[in-house]
Amino acid sequence: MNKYIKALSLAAVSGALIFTGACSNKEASNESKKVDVASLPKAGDFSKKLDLNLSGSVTRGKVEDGNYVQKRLEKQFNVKIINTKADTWNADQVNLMVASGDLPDTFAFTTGGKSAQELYDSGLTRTIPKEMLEKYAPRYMKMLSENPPGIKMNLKEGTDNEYLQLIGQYAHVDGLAWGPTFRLDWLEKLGIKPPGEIKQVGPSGGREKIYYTEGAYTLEEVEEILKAFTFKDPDGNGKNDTYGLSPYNNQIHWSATLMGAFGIAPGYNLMEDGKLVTTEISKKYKDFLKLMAKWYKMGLIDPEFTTLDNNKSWEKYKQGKIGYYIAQPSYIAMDDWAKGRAPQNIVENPNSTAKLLATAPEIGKDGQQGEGAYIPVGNLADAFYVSKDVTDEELARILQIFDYINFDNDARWTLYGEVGVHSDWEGTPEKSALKVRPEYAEQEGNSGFWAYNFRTYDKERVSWFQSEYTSKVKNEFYAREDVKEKMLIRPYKWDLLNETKLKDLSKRYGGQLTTIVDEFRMKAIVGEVDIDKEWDKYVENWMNNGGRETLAELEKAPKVSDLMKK
Amino acid sequence: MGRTRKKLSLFDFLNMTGYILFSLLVLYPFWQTIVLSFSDANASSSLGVHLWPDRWITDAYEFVFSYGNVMKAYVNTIIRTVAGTILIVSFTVLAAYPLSKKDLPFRNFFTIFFLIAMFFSGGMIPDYLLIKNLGLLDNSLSLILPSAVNVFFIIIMRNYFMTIDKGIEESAIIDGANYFQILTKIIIPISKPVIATVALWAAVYHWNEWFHALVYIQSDSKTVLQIIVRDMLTAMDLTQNAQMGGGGMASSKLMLSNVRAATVIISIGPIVLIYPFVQKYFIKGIMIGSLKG
Amino acid sequence: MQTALQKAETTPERKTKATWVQMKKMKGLYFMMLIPMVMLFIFHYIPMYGILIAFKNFSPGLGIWDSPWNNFEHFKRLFSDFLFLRALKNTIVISLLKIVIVFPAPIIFAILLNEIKNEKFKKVTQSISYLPHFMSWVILSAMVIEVFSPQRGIINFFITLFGGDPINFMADKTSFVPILILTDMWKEIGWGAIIYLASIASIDPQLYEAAEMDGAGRFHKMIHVTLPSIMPMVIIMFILRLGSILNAGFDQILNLYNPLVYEVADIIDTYVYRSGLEQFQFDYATAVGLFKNVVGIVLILTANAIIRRKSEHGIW
Repeated sequence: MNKYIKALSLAAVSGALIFTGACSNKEASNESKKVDVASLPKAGDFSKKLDLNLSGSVTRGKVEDGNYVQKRLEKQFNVKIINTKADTWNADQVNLMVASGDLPDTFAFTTGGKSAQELYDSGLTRTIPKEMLEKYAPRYMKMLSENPPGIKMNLKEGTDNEYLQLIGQYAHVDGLAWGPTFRLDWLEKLGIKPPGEIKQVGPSGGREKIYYTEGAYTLEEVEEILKAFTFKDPDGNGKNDTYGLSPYNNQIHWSATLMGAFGIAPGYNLMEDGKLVTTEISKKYKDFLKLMAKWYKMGLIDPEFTTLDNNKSWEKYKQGKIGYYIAQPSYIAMDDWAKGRAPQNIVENPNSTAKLLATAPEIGKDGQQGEGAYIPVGNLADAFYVSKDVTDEELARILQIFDYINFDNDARWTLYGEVGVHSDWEGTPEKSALKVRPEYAEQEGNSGFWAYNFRTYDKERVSWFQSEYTSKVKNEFYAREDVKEKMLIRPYKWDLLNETKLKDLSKRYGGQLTTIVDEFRMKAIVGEVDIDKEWDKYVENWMNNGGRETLAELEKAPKVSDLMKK
Repeated sequence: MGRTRKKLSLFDFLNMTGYILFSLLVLYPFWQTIVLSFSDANASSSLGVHLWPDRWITDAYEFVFSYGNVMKAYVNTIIRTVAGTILIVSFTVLAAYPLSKKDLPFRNFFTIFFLIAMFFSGGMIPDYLLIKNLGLLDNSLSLILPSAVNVFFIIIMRNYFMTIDKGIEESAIIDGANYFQILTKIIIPISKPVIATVALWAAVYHWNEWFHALVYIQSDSKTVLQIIVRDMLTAMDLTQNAQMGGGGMASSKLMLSNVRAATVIISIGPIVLIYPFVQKYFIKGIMIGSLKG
Repeated sequence: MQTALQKAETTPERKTKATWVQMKKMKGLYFMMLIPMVMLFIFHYIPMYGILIAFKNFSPGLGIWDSPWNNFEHFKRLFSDFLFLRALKNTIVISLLKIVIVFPAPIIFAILLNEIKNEKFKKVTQSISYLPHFMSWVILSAMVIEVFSPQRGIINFFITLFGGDPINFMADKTSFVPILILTDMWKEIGWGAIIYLASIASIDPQLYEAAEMDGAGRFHKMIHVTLPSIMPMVIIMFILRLGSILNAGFDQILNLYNPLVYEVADIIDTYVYRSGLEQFQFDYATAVGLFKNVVGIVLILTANAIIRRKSEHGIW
């Protein structure tokens, strides 16, 4: 029998050899030749017609050939655009595209993919010379220089003028991403005063039932409130069936501001007793867990949270048995896309008598208050790549299109068409969000909106899709400069410039470390482990399974405070 | 005699009661899914028991139908299922019959040839490259050709063939029939139950398969139903990319659970209905008696 | 054993000649297998070189052939990772429980269903019983979680009715695995019974008649006619089931578990899935898949060898 197996595998291997030998002869040669920028056409010279295979970064592969944006771009830049029908949200498809080397001229992924260095090392992408960017993408370069250390990011190792990728600006996640909310009707019934002056979010549509304040409760006050929410029958049904807060099991957002009151943010790192530690093994985190365990033991936390994901948790909140919930500014502004999400789903029904109060993050015992910044350093994120086979001439054209559609705000038509023809303002012109008319596809499809764009938004662009109420609460509080300054928690060190092997380490140990952390957190909260007793064992376990290597490597990363210097 | 009969009917009673209870246990989640699919966020949530919606509304279905080209996907899925099933069943029979012959020289070699393919596969990347090099990308053939030979089915069918009384065949050989005639005239007719079972398995496989469609098919016009189903079932919420501008999948009235329920009902309808047709071939003792006559 | 071929005592030349004669006689059968084998070769054997990436540091730009060998790094990683070993243990425990408890269920289901005389009832029951197979775990998990919910679940309703404290079954290490087994059985029993019903359908009625003439009762017929008749199918299904011992039900567990029960419920597939979330690692995943399949094929070979010794049923 063994004989057969041998013969068979031999046949298979040789067959495969012949077959693939014929079709895959790729080699990863990473020697970049010097680009002679002067010999390339001037910016704005589109005399030669080029074929470009383009893909944007929010596309789901639903773009139709000959769409509105495509036709206009083709005319404006004298190119023929070949649409890529890839779903950038689909990790399987993206990874397969990368693994098989089957990539369009430009690409950016919503999910999956590999790091810039990996893609380059694999011979899938080319570098983008600084000189060419200066010549063909001046608006992009201006954005970089205004957002330090943008100019220094994504450089090819050992060079100062070749970029591995382009990067986007994330003004839409500026400021506090989350804030706590309380059932205001319950507070009133229990006779608990708001922590400051309260204002309505808006005049109608349920927003009149949502209030916000700059004031904040302290952790002790929150504990008292949660106790009252749990035991004093705030909904007045005569049953002891309410809970203070309800976390969920699949994400950690629910604790954003609670952890902030301890001065920590998940996934980040800090200096503690003169040592660099990650949040998950810090003493502050231990204190946070102890408080949660105490609250759980007191009965303030809905014990069912261990089996609920955030979707089910929203549905549960809607049943009106939970008093405290975390919310994004857009949730309390009741943006369309956030409908159905807790906590504003409780006021959606016009007959609902519930009221909500959004406060500033709760204050910890040393006065700390805030939450982790959405982006660890600055507000640049995401990646836009150019394929290996793109020539300098093509790159010149690509950069000009890129610079125009993503950084020139006259290019609004690539996202919303012409106002009055393809789309309309939702409220006040130029101040509210734009809504595409129903006869055109909101994205991709026959209109081609968003189909070629990269995920980059300055403040103005954000205002095109953010409702005026969201803009209002953000301007007045969540994204106000002094609030950001005071409340955003950033890591102590961060490998922003890809100088360490942290990415490889996280690939190797990420699964182990996350499992150890998640398991301990849950068990600690529900009291299955005694935090004081088990803590050292937990930290040691973390250290022994890749944590030590991670910390050692993290030491080599630059300080965030240095990176942020202008 | 009398005692025996009484005992037996008690057994019958218990047996039937058991099956009725089991049926109810199975029907409940199915019914709740139907109820959820005809509700909206205010009518009911996925929490708790729902035997009747507050009011019957079809918003969730409208949402699913507006999301993708559901009708086209339906047609594609039915074509794929029919074609794919015919292919799988034919190849299964053609491979299983020779392998069921104990006196076939090198039978073990061939069995192992098939078995190895059941356990070892090259994985996604070479599969994708193969389909690409064969020019089958974005071609519906890529959905039925790679799975046309199913070793699991072949082994099951081969085993079934092996239990068939050799006497019937031997008399046919003496009458001068060749193997192909024996297969079509004798073996297939008396193997209807297992062929029907394999056909059902194959049909359900093709109906539910989404991964190949996901990676090999790009055109919307060639998409299959399960791609839409998968989009709905894996979406974390209905407004996934709303934050990046545009409404995305925004829907104000529905919860994810309503939409998921509607998707499931839409997607399982036809395949559930084919079983009675398969059952038809499970009638006891077909042909065997007549052949032995 | 009618042919000379299998007789060891025949001389080599005679054996070769006999084989050749036999092959010629059966050429029609080889011809039948030809197309399936060609298809299998193209779509399974040609891509099989992809297994190599289990032993390499896969780099997309270099492709499978030119990616560097990594000295079994992926396998070393697996067996030095205590969480993987825990997942391996959980996988085997859950899988074995499913084989012991869930595997026989459809057989009993089919045999008992066969005893029902009312054809219509039988057909309807059968059609209903296989419905849950078509429901995705994403949907079913929500209902399972509801049934066992400490606040709304029916089981806890009765527990509290009799004065007990509600139990959060889905977050409890002792009850989670039994729930997995139970719900798996509930979902797949009707579907799994189909092949046995097909086997029962082809039992020669004369066997029953003969048993009746011998005065056999109903149970006697079930045990001594029905069960032995479907035994070959049961055996082959059992062997094939063993082959997938390291698949303990990824979809089911992924949709039902939570960190509190990782200790007993985290299986290889869920662990690898979580590890790969950040960046899909084809090479590592292929190594894990290869490991699972090798274990599977070893088990199949062993089980087949044991069963062959006792009976003539088996894969070969």
